[in-house]
Amino acid sequence: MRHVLLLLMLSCAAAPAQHSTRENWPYYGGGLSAWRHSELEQVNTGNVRKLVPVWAFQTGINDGGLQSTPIVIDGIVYLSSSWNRVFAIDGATGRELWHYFYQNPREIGVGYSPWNRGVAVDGERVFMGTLDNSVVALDRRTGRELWKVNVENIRQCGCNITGAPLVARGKVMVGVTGGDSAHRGYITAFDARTGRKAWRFWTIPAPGEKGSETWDKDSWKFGGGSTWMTGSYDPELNLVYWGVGNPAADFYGASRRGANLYTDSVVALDADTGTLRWYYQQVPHDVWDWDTAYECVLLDLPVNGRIRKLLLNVNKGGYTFVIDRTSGEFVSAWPVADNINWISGVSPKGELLGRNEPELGKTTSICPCIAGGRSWNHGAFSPVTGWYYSTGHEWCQDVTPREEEPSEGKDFFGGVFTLKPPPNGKPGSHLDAYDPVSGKRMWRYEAKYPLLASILSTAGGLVFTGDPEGQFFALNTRTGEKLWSFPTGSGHRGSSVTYAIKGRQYVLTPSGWGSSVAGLMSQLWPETESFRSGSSLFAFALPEDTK
Amino acid sequence: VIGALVWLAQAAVVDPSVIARGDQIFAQSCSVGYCHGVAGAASRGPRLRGRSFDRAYLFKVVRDGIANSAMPAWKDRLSEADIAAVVAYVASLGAAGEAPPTAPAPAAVATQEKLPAAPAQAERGRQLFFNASDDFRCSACHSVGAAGTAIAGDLDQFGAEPVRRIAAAMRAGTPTRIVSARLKDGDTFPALRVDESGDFVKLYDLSVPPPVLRTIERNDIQSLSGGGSWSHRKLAERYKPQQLADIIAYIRWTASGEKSEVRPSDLQ
Repeated sequence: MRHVLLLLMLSCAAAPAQHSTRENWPYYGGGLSAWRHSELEQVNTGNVRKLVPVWAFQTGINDGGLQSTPIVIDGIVYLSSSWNRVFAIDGATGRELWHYFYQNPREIGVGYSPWNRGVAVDGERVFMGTLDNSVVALDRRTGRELWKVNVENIRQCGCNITGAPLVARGKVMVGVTGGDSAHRGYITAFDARTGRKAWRFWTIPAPGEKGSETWDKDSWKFGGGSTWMTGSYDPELNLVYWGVGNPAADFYGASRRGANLYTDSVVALDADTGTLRWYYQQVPHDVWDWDTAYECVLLDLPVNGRIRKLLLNVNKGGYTFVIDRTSGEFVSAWPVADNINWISGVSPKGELLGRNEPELGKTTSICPCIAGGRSWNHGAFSPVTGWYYSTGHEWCQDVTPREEEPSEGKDFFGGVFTLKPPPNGKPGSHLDAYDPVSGKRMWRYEAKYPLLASILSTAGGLVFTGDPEGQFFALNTRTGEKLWSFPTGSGHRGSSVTYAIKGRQYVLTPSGWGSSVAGLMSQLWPETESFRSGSSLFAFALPEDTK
Repeated sequence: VIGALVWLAQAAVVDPSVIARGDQIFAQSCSVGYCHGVAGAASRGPRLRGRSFDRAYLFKVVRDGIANSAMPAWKDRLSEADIAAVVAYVASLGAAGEAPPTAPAPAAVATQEKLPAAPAQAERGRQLFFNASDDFRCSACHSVGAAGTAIAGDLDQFGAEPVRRIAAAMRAGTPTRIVSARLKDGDTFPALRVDESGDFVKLYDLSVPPPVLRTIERNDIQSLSGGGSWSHRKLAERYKPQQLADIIAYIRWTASGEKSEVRPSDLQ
């Protein structure tokens, strides 16, 4: 056993996977830079039509669909499902090696449930955040619980953890939901070995701290600023990058006058101490629920002829912001959706132009809708084409803000909304290829329903994703041409990955329809109400004799 | 009374003012966020408009919530009459079919709280007990009145105790359940004993809050011994005497309904 352990540790050390992945898919975003790109090219544009399923795995719990990113290390798949089930699965055969079912309380009672978006694996441990707002560490060989810490009482905070942890420098970092509740957000780091709290970064400064002047009276106490997705890490700069969500109440801003730092911002934190190094706020004083919570993609690309260390982040309002990740300096901004009316544009300095704010007591048409010009499901960057791949959605909403007093841990939305089609066209969705700095669009793939699964890019010239009707498909990275498709039987809301065992490449996708946005969709497409839920993994490979 | 209210909600013809009341509560509590959508148009929660439900079932679901789901119990936040009004309103949506939502949301929301307000001192104590911005808050280890985290015991039993007894307990040194744990790898920490019956020992590591429930192989433990440096008194000393008095007033009010003021001099 000791030899096996040593080997496991060595193989981890040998594959830092900062950007692209190969045999393993070690981190939530593939590499630490969240590219979701693999250098594997056994499956490629020339042979993808021969791809066949080689195994499937059922989690047995369909509630909320399957929104996870599997982690794969040394041929073993680590998967989390709704209600905090964790499975270790043989990546070649689909055989279960162990499982761990976390005991949640019977009543969760908060809307941010019951899904889970992934585990983190580091050394000998597997880490997961839970529906009742705890973090657990498991023995990677057996699934045995090693430690568990409750971050904050769910009944008090109305918050929990659905995002995957990020592990760096021996620390497990987790975000928190609660952005639509009367809650003050944070990122917390725990010692990976003992579970002891190492540091906490509050996303809303307390009175007296720098930035607190951007909050009215007591509004900082319940101002939202959740951190519900997973951050990225740059080992050279030793900085953790994390997107911070919207301020609360979402649609009612009169009781929190000011810019409301650090909501709707990307924050750069020292990985050892949690100290804020810089921040970039995309939407000062947000009154539309435009989270800046999605992935931070770390790119080294030329800007005006000079290579710069960049960070790309798409927000829920449908705008992509590119900033310098050493300083937080604004570089560029460009949209991923056609129907955007909450601003008329972004100035060359990064300022929002022509803000269209919903007024108290009135109903205002806002595009996109609350589900986002893009949802949280992640884009991908291919170093082969140099392009960033993202989905974009065309849908709007009628928003009616209303005055609301916060009650700790309770919903704190400050208004209601109803989905509407865009004013001049049909609702729909697309997957596009962009130049990451200029936002120039290279091609577009049109879809009937919002594409709500993450994108996987491979050196085989393919991008993979799935649709709400259950088709898992591959597009040509250079043209957007659909090359292959397979019906998995339930819609796609998770994140596909790829890995290799003994020279054979596997493409692995979660399949399982569910979630808040899936439910909301029925306001525009009534037929989606009866789309089948599910929760399974499908592994694909080329037939053994194809290589 | 409950039977009568269900009957009221079941009645074929419901007073329009009851439905209007239900509409208002629904807009405040049920259509918010990602729940049931405006006028039950569907979101994370299921669509409610254009469907028919058994009203007794609806009443039970609204009152008690649905276990293993995001649907909360409203019995602590809404009166039975208000729950019946919500049921009447949801039932009225069944006839609305796919018609567009009608009533705009009210411009202002009054917080629905049926619990009596705490006396001012108890409220100050409550805010200290549960202060989310304070890592060392009482509620990180204790529950009272079914709120908080009960890893080191529920405090309801203290509710009827004399003020001086409660104060003395807060200022006590090291309870016997807390030991000093030393592992073979050299790690040493104050620990709250949980379970030592099997091959694995469960302990709360109290080094830094929040407490960590660690499951450690018996063979990896060097020793579990009394004494050590952990002291509850250090936690009590973080507060001024007036604040301690406020916290005690809160515990007494929550656990036993006691409303009398607690003065700092009562603590001696």
